[in-house]
Amino acid sequence: MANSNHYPVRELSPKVVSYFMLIVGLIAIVVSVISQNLLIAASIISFPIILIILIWGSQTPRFGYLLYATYSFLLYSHYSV
Amino acid sequence: MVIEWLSACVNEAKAKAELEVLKKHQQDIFDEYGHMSPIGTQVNRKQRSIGIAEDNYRTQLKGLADANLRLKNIEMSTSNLQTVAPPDYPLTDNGRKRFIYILVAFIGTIIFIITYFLLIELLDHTLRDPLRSKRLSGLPVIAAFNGISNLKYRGFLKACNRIAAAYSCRQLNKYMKSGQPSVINLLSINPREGKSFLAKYFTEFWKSEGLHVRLVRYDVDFEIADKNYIQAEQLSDFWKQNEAEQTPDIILVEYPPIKDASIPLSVLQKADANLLIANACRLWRNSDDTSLAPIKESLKDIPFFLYLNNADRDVVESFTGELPPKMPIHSFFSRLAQLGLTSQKAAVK
Repeated sequence: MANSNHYPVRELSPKVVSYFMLIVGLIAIVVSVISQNLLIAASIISFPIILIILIWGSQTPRFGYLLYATYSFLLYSHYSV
Repeated sequence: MVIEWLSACVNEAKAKAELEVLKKHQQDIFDEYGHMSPIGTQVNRKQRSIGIAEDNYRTQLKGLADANLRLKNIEMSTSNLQTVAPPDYPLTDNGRKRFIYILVAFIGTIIFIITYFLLIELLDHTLRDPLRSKRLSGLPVIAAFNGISNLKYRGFLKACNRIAAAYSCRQLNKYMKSGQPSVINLLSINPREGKSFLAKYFTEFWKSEGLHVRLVRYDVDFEIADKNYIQAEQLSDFWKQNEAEQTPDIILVEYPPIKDASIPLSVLQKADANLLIANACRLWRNSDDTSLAPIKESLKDIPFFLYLNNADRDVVESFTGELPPKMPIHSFFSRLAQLGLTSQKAAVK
């Protein structure tokens, strides 16, 4: 145990931060709907989806391909109609 | 005669002195008059200019007070107010799409909550359950253990732990050899992940099945800062059984944490099974992948499993089945969760 580096470290739980962010997001949605700013509400609602698309899409290429395929399908189905 | 002359001299001196005093007094009066006579002409002019300045000040003060009064009067008057929104209760539809706003708030909040937790589930690097642990560590998960942190079912904790240990031991029995001691290695990346705790339960179970188990622990049965340990090719290089001891059926070897000490890979290769004990609540770091990579590489053909300690009750139940206490509501929801929609009890009448 020559390289043992045990020393007491007090760790803070990131769980608190994630729940705090959730509550802040919900409050922001409610405030923006009450003040009739639907654009702000829509951007807050779609924020996690955008993060999923960006981060998860960058981590798993298949998800990116699926999104591109969906986009292409919608584009061509629009022109065919 | 002399007396008369003397008195005449005295009277003369007295008269001279009085004359001198009167002359001095006259001079003082002349001086004072000469000093004061020019001021008399200026006094009236000064009084007049002071009166003008005082009148001017009073006029300004009155004007200011009048202006202030007029301002207050304008502020208090309601004649020039503009009505922004009349204080009436709306009797008809005022054009606001209230229903749409309520619907947007309801659906939007649900979408936000679902996608938020989906995002956390996708990005979270906590071990937690077997699927996630296999994805993160790349090792198959053999079983899970409840640990000691379940407050709600604390009365049934030992019973649950015995069931979980029994399940694990039955899984490990497949890798035993008959006629010679089977070696099972217990590894962990960090200290205090529960190797000794699990070894105690494993030993108890195997003893109840009539098997003799020998627990070999680091810093107790062998030294890890020893040349024989670091360069060991087999278990007997750094640990030898006492001659007085009975030959064990199973040897459980508890190694030091991987990140703090070296692990002899040749000894691991000669074992019957290797278990990496990991706390299910902890983060799987990139450094864990790095420190585990050489061990995984050398144990490609040897049974090497991940064992989740301190896992949630439902994770343990996914291996062992329903744990005690068996309550009707819990059983009902457990069956529903397993999609047993039309199922009945296993026992046939």
